[in-house]
This record gives sequence, structure tokens and C-alpha cells, in this order.
Amino acid sequence: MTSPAIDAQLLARVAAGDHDAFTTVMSAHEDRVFSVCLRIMGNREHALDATQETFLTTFRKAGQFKGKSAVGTWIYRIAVNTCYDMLRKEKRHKADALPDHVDPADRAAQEAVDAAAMRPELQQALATLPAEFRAAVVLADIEGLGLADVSVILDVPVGTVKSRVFRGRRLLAAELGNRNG
Amino acid sequence: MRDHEIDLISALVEGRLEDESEARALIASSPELQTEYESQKMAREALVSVGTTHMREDEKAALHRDLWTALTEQPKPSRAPWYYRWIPVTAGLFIVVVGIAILGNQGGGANEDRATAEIATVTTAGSADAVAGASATTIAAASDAGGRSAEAAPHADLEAVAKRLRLDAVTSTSAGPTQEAEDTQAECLVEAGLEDYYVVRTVDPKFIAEAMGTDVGEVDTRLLIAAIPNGADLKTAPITFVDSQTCTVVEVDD
Repeated sequence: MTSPAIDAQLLARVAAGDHDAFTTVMSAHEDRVFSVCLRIMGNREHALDATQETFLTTFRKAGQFKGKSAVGTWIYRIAVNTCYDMLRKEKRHKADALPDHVDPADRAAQEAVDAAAMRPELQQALATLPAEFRAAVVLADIEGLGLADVSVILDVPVGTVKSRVFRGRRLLAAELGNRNG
Repeated sequence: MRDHEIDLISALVEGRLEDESEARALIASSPELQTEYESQKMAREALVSVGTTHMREDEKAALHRDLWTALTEQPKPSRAPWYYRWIPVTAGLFIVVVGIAILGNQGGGANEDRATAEIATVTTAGSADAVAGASATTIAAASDAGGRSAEAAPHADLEAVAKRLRLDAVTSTSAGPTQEAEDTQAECLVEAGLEDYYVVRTVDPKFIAEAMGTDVGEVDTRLLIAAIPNGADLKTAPITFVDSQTCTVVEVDD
């Protein structure tokens, strides 16, 4: 992971059309962006699409980066907004979540679940949350970001972040309780 | 539930409190808060256990490939109308024609003596009488004034060409020349002293050869402009042939 200062310099070069700089920025953030997208989208294929769209937007809007936050925070904000857009367009996103029972013979599906390292029931419970709550708990609890960073990424006050995380956990617990009970 | 209670329970669940006594006392004071705390703790532990995931190498390779494809993809140029490809050719030809015309002007003195007024012996018939008569005068005047020479053309007999043109006037449905070409040809007619004429069509060697029933190689290579007086009927009016390069009258077929 590069430092924020170096990231900012790289992004300035990206804005000038430097593809090498863009490759460096992407390498530094792509796994985490993908992780965020996967948890929000709940589907690996859609998460890859969202990741690609995120970096396309990053490249095109690099010149708009004001340096008010870390580059990573700025990119995650793009990622979350990209996921929101894709979820809005996706009418059946809940049905596209990982299946309840993965056929052991289906190696690709099994690998996808292993790579996601998330229990299918947890992924499905997460998918039932409203997108705003889901993004909040993904960023705060799964990605381990601080409330201030989540506030910047979601573009809401810290108090709103606390509320969304709290309510998101509550809904998630209820969903998991229903599934287990 | 009040904000303070939410903050305390959240901080306790996230392990951010140095002193947990206040939070634990709060939870112990209410079964509802106790239940909330258990729910928050369970969800938090489930989420934290997930952790960050990574793309597989093949997914990364595909992502990079698709990204670069998208970033380097240029919009395809819009398909130009078919006639665009002829614009440079037409412009080139126009420049050549104008260049030759200018050179012809500069060295035209020697030809003036050979200019003939005989071509003014145009006879007219039917409704085109008046117009054709007037234009016959114009041709003569043009020659007298030292206009382009009506130098004897290799087109010994353009009668067959005129016949073919009159026949085409009955049968042809082809589109006329472009506006630009039409303007150039009209200027050429004016230069030839045929202000009151209009262009019927341009006549190329192939057309001439076909009309004469001979090979292309046996006719002159010059492009001719066939013109008739304004208002005249092609089927009956005399046709004047003008050399498109020198803008001189070559022959009048009546």
C-alpha cells in the first residue's frame, strides 16, 4: 500500500494521462475495492463489473480529486456509488446472491464461496439489508474503516454513519436469527 | 432508544471503551437493551470474521485487460457519405482545369488569329429560333473579342454524339451533374461567350466513342460540354460543344 502523499501525486499523474501511474494506483487499491464491491453487490461477477467501472471512473475523474481525503477513501466512495448505481439497475439482485446450497460438484461455485470467505447465509442476510445500511456495515465492520472515513465515503455525517451501522447490525442479526431459528 | 445508549452499546461492541462499567450497567438495567447488545454483538462478530477478500489472479488479469481495452478504445470515425471520397479528386481536377485555362489565357494570342467566326452559322428551328439566333451572334462576338479559339477539333463529326444526346433526352433518367460541377461548367460557357446557354451534360471520350461506334482510343481525350440555348428543347435545338479545358466552342451541331 502506498502512502497518501504518494497516492495523491500518482493521481495527479493519472489526471495527466499517465497510464503507468494509473496501474500503480489500481494495484494499490483494487483488492480492497473488489472486496467492498463484493460485499455490497453480493455477487462475484457483478463485483468485478463494479470494480472495473470504479477504476474507469477513477481514471476519468482523476483531475477532479481535490486532496481533501485520502486517495483510497476517494476511490472507495466511487466504488460505493458505483455499486449503488448498479444495484438500482439490477432488479433481481437478491436472487443473484450466492445460492443457499452449493453443489460440491460445482467447483467454480465452491471456489467462489471459498474466495469470498463468507458463509452463504451471512451473505444472503447481508443482501437483504437496504443498500445504505449494507454499505455502512461493510465499510465499518468488514473492511474495518473508521467512522470518519466511512462518513466521507458515504458522504453523510458521522452521526448518520453510527445510526446506519447500528440499525444495519440489528437487521442483520434479526435476519440471521430467522435463518438459524 | 436514545443516541447516548446507541453510542455506548456500539462502543462496547466494537471494543472502543477503556472503561466499560457505564455501558455494562446500562445494559444490565434493561432487558430491551440487553437484547439489543446481544444482537449487535452477534452481527458484529459475524461481519468481522469475514475479513477482506481478494481477486483471483485470472480475475485480475481479466480486469486489467478489460480496463485497458475500455480506456484505449477510441470512438470509431463516422462513416462519411460516399461522395466525400471524390471531393479531393474533383478539387484536383478543378485546379488542373483552372491552371490550364490560365496558361491558355497567357498564350492565347497566337490562337486568336485562327479563331473562326464560321461557327456562328447556327441555324435554328421551331420554338428555339429566337434564342438560337441570339446565341449565334454571341458565339461570333466571343470569337471576335478574342475569346477561346474554336480551334479545329479532332472531333471531325459530332453529329452522332448530338443524336445520342437527343436520344438520351427522351430516355435518360440519370441524375444531372453536381451543383459544384454545374457551376464550373456554366462559368466555362460564359467564357466561351455562351452566357444564354445551359449545360446539357458533359461528354467524355467513352460517350463519344460509343455514339460514333468506334474505339475510345480513336477519339479525342478532351472532355466536352454540350450546351443548348436557355429555354430550348434538346430534342430540336442546336447543340454546341465546348472544350471543358479551354472553354472554347468546338462544334455546333444543328
